[in-house]
Amino acid sequence: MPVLMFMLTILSFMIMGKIYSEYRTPVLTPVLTTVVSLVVILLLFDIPYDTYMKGAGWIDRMLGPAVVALAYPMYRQRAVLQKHFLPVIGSVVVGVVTAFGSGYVMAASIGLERELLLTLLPKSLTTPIAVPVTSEIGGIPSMAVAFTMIAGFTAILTSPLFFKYIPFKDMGKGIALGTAAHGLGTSKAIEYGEETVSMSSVAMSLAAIIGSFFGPFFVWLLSI
Amino acid sequence: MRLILKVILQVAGLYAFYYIGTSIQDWLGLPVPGSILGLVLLLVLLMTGILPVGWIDHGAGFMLAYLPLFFVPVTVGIIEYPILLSKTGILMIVMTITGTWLTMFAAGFTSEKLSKRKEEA
Repeated sequence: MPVLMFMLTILSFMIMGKIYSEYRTPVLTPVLTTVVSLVVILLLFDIPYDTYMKGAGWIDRMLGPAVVALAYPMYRQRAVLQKHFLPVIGSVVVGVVTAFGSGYVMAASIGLERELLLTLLPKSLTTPIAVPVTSEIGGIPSMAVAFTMIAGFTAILTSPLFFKYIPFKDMGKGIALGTAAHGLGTSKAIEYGEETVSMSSVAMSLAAIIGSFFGPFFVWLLSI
Repeated sequence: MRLILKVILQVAGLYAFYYIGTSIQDWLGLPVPGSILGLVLLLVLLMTGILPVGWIDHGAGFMLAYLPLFFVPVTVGIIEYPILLSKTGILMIVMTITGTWLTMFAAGFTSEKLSKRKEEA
């Protein structure tokens, strides 16, 4: 059974990757389609998540070292960061604080229970970072992934209208997309030009690092 | 063949950084995830030139190419939280959308202000 679950995950991901490369639309993002198809299979055959994880856990263990690997693209972005150091750092810090702060204020105002409130906080961070940050602060990682995707799709679907009424320059657009909506936002940035893409990528990386230190600090500070 | 060996060795190197990161977290009792401490450590070594980028580039490229696959298992765990489809779940989705707009505004607005100041200076 574990081997089967392992193979099933790899196979679904390969098929969904093929479908994505055929149509190239964000709705068919392989993670999304793979997870949906696996959830359907588990429900259909009545397979508990624990049983699934006995096999899929081998894949899960690759996530930690893969997060470390993110240092490589960050290192390659250093020239862009050095060139616009102050505006980029400043706006990403303000963005990250807004992301956590607004999430907390909204969730607390409706009296959301602690575990769900914490799950809602890291949604602006890139998924591989949001997962360990969520488990560190005491939220539910799998649900956090769903919220990071919703944050990403919010940027993809609404940013044209958003920027029509709030016309940021290319750099501002990129920083807005990368800080609030990580990789999915960055994929949308391509439509706004090269400057927007590089700013979005740098903002996403910085937000990931700043967010993973700020998040636990924020939770400690407010003793949530 | 040599490339495959290189990828395997470099991935092992990334594992080592991950291990060091989690050990630092344990020793110091830090609330920051060990994988991120490993990332920051590697980034610092690359930036300072202590570690040549050629020592990790192939391994990192390989891991990043499959990165989305690695968080599929944890995400499938959503199956245990049908609350996402309840009224609370819908409220959380609305808050996520609102929070994303607020964050876009705050980050973009700050960037406009800061880069303008730089132009004037």
